[in-house]
Amino acid sequence: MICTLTRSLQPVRRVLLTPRISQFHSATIIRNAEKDTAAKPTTGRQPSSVPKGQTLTGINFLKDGKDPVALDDSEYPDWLWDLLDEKKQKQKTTKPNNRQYHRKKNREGIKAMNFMKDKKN
Amino acid sequence: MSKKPQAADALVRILVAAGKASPSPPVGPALGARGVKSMDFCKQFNDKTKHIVPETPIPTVITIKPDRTFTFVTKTPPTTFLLKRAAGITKGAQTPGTEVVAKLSLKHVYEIAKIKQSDGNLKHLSLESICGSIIGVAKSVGIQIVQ
Repeated sequence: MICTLTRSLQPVRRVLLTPRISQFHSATIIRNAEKDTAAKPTTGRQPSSVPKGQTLTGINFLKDGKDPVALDDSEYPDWLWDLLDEKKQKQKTTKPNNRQYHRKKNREGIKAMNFMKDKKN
Repeated sequence: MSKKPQAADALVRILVAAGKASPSPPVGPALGARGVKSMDFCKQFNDKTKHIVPETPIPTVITIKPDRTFTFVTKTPPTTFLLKRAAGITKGAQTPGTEVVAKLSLKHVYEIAKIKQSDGNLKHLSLESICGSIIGVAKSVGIQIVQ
């Protein structure tokens, strides 16, 4: 009763205010988290410009092969949708357990060495 | 780079259209200069590319040993070729980077990456890395990749 009243007063708040369990109880937190993800689309990104079932023309080059058919967005690996995100790709260069980080570091080191070795300046 | 040839092995890199016999311009002089009969190569090459749609450019690397015998490796078609065909264009942009000639989806990129992974050079790379490379190639041709 109370929770529906509070919900109508503050429609933006998603946290259920149940009188018995405090909102910091783990059960409430898990329940709210599930509610949040159910409210948004599973990935929170825009749908692809190629809908499911559309043939991707021009890719097949074998005589007895066919052009591949686009699958549903969810059937592609998650990293695929991050490839165009500049920020996310650049983030890879900040974590030491990534190849990109070490490559960037090496390149900067080489440039620094070259600068130091440059006798003309 | 691919592994280096031994003592006097010669490496010849050519782009040959699949199923095409021995024309003088691309194949003839390149092989003939090293003492290989181009007809032999062309027969073997056409045999190997029987299952491929004709006119598809196939990069090949021919290793010619000092005794004039040869072996060759065929690879997957060039990425630019696959991208342009998927986008439905024949020529890339005049000024890539500023000009956008066509658009492709990430799903196209994924499918092209799957083809590319079958290439000997790229087998050890993750599909994610190959996709990244293909997006880079698309930029250089003036094709914009969108969701």
